[in-house]
Amino acid sequence: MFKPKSLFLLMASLLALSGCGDTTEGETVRLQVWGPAKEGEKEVYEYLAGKFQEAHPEITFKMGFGDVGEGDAATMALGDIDTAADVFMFADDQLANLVQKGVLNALPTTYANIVKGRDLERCVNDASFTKQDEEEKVYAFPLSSDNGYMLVYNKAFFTATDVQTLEGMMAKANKDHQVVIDMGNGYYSLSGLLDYGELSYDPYARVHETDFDSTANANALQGLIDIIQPKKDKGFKSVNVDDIMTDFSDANGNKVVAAVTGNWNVDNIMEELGDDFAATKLPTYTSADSSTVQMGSFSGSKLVGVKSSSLVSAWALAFAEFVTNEAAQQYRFEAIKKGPSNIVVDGSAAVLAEPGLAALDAQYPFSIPQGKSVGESFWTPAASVGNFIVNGPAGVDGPQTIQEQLAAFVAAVTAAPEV
Amino acid sequence: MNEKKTTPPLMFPGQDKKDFYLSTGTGHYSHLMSSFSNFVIGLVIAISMGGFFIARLLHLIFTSTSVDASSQSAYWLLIIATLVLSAAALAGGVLAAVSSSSQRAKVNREEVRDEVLIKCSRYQAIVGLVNVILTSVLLALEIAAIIILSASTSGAVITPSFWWIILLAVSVLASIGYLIISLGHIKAVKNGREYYLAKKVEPISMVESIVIGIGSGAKNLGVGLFNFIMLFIKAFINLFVALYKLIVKVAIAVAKFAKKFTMTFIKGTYRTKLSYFFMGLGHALMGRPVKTILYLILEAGYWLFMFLPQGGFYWLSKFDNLGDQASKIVYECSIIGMPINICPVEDQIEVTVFMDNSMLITLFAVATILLTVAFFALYWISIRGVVKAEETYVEALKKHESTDDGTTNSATQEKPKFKSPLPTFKNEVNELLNSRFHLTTLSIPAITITVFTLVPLVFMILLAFTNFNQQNGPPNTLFTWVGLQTFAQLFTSVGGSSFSKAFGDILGWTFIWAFFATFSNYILGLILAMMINRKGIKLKKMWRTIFVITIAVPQFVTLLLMSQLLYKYGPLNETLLRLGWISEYIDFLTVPLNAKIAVILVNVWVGVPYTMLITSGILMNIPDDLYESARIDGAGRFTQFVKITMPYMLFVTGPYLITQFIGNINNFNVIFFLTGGGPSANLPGVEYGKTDILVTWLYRLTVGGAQQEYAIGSALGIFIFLISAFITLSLYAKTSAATQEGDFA
Amino acid sequence: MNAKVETKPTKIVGNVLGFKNQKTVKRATNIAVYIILAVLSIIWLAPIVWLILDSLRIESTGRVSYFIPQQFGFDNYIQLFTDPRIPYLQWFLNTFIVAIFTSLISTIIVLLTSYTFSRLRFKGRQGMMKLLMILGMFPGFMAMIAIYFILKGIGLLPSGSEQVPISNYLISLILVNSSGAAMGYLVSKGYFDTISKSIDEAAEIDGANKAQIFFKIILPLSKPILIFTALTSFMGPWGDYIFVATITRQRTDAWTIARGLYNMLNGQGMVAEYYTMFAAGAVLISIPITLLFIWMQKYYVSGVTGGAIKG
Repeated sequence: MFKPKSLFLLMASLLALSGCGDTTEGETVRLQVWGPAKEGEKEVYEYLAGKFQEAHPEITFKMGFGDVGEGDAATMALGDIDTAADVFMFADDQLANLVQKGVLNALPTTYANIVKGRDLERCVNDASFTKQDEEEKVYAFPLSSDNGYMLVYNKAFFTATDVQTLEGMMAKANKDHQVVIDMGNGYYSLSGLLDYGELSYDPYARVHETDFDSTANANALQGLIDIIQPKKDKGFKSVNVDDIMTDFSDANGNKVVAAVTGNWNVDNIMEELGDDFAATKLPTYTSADSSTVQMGSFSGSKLVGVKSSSLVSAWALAFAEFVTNEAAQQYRFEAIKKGPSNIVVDGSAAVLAEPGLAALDAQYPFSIPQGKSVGESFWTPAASVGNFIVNGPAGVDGPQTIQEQLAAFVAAVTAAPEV
Repeated sequence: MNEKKTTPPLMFPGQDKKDFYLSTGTGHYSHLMSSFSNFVIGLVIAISMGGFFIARLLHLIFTSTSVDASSQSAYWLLIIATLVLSAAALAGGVLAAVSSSSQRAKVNREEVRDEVLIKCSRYQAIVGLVNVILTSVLLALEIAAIIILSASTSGAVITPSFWWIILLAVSVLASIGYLIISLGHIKAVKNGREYYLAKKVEPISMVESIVIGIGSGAKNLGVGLFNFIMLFIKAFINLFVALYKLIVKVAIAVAKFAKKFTMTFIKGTYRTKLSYFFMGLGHALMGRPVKTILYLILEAGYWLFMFLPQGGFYWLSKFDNLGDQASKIVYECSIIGMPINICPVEDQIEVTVFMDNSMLITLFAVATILLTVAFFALYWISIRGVVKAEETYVEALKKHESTDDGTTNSATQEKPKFKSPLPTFKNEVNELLNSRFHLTTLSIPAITITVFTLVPLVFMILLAFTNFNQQNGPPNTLFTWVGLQTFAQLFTSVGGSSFSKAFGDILGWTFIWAFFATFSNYILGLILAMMINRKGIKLKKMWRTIFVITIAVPQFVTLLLMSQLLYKYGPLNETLLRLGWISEYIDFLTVPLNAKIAVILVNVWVGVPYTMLITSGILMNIPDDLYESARIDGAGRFTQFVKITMPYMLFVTGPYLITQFIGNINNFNVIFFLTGGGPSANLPGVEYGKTDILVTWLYRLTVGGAQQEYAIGSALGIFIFLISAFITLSLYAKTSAATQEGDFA
Repeated sequence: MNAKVETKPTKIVGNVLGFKNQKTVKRATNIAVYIILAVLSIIWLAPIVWLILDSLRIESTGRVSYFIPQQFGFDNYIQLFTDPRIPYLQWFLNTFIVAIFTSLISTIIVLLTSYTFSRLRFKGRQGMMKLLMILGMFPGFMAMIAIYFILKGIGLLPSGSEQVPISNYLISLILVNSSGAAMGYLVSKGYFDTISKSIDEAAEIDGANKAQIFFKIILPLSKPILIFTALTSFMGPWGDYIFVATITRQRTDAWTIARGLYNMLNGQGMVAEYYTMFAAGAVLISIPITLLFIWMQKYYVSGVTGGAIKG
């Protein structure tokens, strides 16, 4: 840098904070934390930060909290690694990117063992990555396990049997009581095949491996089309759930009676539906060749990462571990009802009683981990398939049948990226 | 007489036909011009239509679509016919021009005037007749070709895409228009002859005046369009010529400067030589210490900056390959307080220390280089200042010494003090406020623009020569120089890149968008302003204020609102559905064609209040007597608009239109906030949308998306800049001369 | 035979449709125009009205698919000032400070630069003018990243975990927004060109130097262009969001209004809760800008047409 003053300041603070020295009494440690401020996360963080300070009375912690959503943390950190937070929350689909760009380093073995010992296996998997020519290592601390989606419905309108099959739901749905799946969003659009077909991602070659263009899969989606398309806007609506949340309520005439969405919306929808709220795993549907297909989904976790170049790595790790330990997760669940990743907390009665979390648990066997299955090139082609399912062919120039559309999809996601 | 005029006079009902026919039909000078321009326009139309089909054929050949035999023959037939007819048209025009000019000399002689004029009118009639035949044949061929091609079996031959429909429509309309003109022309000439010979007088009817008005308007449009295209072609050629001249000039200047630099040192006095090492020292030796101190402070600052750790030289040293090592790992202990050497392996933390950052190296090296250039300029100025000052100083000193003898003050036995002829510091400061005021005023902007515009600019240009993207970039990987490889990726299909296809698509749409956006806003704003300005309308200020309110709400708010409104399940669709006006949801923003139209319409909503305000102000200032005199001459409303209002408006708002066109090429806000680039084009490997223009695509490639293709983004940015600068400079030169005239009428 | 060229007596043309009565035609067209204007006004104002309606909606806070709220109230406005996650007042203050200083500094720089180009003659004048004109045409996205790092290098922006005061961010914004001011010299120069040079000469004879001529004589004559420049540079920071996002990143209390409003719509999980507050916030900032714009209308027109129209 140019200014001598800031250079000296930097050197001075480096000396003061160098981790390989000894910590004397009355020392100040500065930690920067990033997390979303909404949904009560900030209050949880402040409580935990207070508890952390109590646990280490000999050090004064100066902790700053930056409002950065989990989806933005990776981009923000990569934009300028110097000013990135020491501890930040992020969604697991960013793990590969962060590890490959050197923002996250493997946890020390002790910490990795702690994580493996206390967190759900699927969360540990979401937090692990295998670098080329290395073994699989854990790179972050799991925070929550509920980053997936399920079916939410109005139980005054649908019975438990109805929601087991898509046909059953469509039979009852009509223009004034619709089922919502956001087929224009690659996150949901291929849920028909996520369990039935194969999909995985190679983060080194940055291509996908998939069999979505097989005849069986094409038939499956054709079956889905046959159920959905006749009911388009007359029972089935493809729209972002955020936009129709108020349509759940009785006051609005229950214009929406079911939706595929995740745990993050459960509170809002519960407000609208009150006692009529129910959640369950995704339904099955019949493929064009008469086999029954279970709708799949993505699963994922929220993770807490420690910046690889942090000047206070030891304390950052300690803090990250602290906010993801059992007590913290218990507190977090009680405060904001997020699905915990801790095995003990997750098994507790209170958690099992949460309808949203129970539904996610039920859906889990049919879901694939988002971080390991899809990369950047997945989203747009997937959205095109979704649009095809709902609207049919986009134009005379494009694919005319679902087989062609899936072939185009596979071509796009298996294409070697531009160098 | 009206014969000297090259443009036909205003045609008003009641005007004397004879005069009109004389001036346009048979006047020798206008005959020359009109016949020549007739043929030129015919030529232009013929070539453009032939060109359309040629282009189509070439496109098909190169995209290796199979074209069946009948279509191919149709194409070739058209092309040959067009070329032959164009040649004939050109030849005919030249012939007519030559023949009429041969008559020109005779027309001034009273006795042969009638004969000459009749001969000229005969030529004119032939011109008109040939035009009619040519255009009819061409039109018939076009229609035949279209019928053949659309009935052809190879499906992709004529697909109704945006481009081709417009081009085809323009060609056909132009042909029809030209046909009408030619027919009208023949009649005019024939009647002119009769009237001239019979010396009859008869007023012209309304219908005739409209037809002739439209005809001549179309003709003027054609000529104008032709000139416009020629302007660009000329400017394009001039660009390369100018560039070459510039490079040569720069090379010569650099060589000359190097020579001067060394010669000044060699030939300089001790003061000059010292000033080469200690900036401005010469001034102190001439009694002006303040200036020296200032210069020396600058010099010290510069060298300090260069030698500082992480200062100038550090960055320059890494500039050649943009970094050697991006990061390294050090180990710390996760157990608080334990030094690393006794830390057990399972507690060791891998801490990354980031070292070379290619992006920062590029940026700061550029800054250093620019700073050095600026410093060097100051350095050279200081030396020159010393040399110049020295000249006067030494001369004065010599004079003082030579007049020394005999003027000693007898009282104090002292020599009179030597007065330096050089301006004192105080004088120099005063100068800065007067003769060198430009230095004072421009210094601060120069500094800030260099730091915040020039450095980032050069940085961005240099990035286009690297391979900076997600894989090769900070924090843990380096990127390096790759020369022109990025440009190749963007503009060609080298290496199987599909960036070029995306680029071509987006470029086309950018120009279409800019054209429609600019002109729709302008014309609709003008019409709105005229409506409000009408004499009988009350509450003018209120109407204007209503539209102005929409400007005041920040653009991105209104645009986000619009995208909400047009959302497929948004309030507009829902309300229309509920009212029963539509039976199912309209896809405004997810179907490409709809999205394109929606974007243009929303832009109209956003932009018309601006253009309304501006045209309103200008309209109010058109002198009323222009309209009065036209009305006295019998002009109708439409004619007044075409002949007075439009030219005046175009004159005053010419620069504004250009700025708007460029602005629309770079109009990020409207498209980004409304459609985000629009429905995706689904090109594997490259992500772009159907309403993306160059800037929005640039944004998504770099800052906005996860792609982080910075190198390609920079190459794209350079291209956008070249287009904008080119259009601005070439069009501005044409209109700025006009605007500096100040007075229109 | 002599050609009797008779010119018809002048006739006021206006009976397009052949109506006998001039007045009826005029009145009919006027009524048609009134109707068209009314329809257009409705079309133009409708989205603004919708925005206001949405800001008064209290039965739900997210996006809905109807226009007219079911319940009206001022809750959104109140929440705007009391919600701890939305420091609206802070944003307003930030934007206001940035706008005022940008306007001040930009105006001074632009006017001085235009005056210099218009009146003074020096080597390199033509080249500089052309350069400045096209320098601003590069699309600025990569430049924003570069500027971020330059500001970081200067020390205005933090380079580690430490926090800098908000004023640093505001100074950065003011600095960058005003730095390019000179590139907009074209309009003001056109205006100065229309002021007669004889005024300058008279003053010079009286012994004034160029600086004095500018401040004491030319500037008072340039009220329209002064106001135009001040106005346009004042309005800029209110709508700029991309650059602010690059500089202020996650420092919520250093954001400007545009950045804050954008976040209310596009931040993670924000829209369902904050859409109506967004509407309220947008309405609140539109009011002063609208008033300002209405007041300054004529100066704006005069400015854009390069002084061809005075006032």
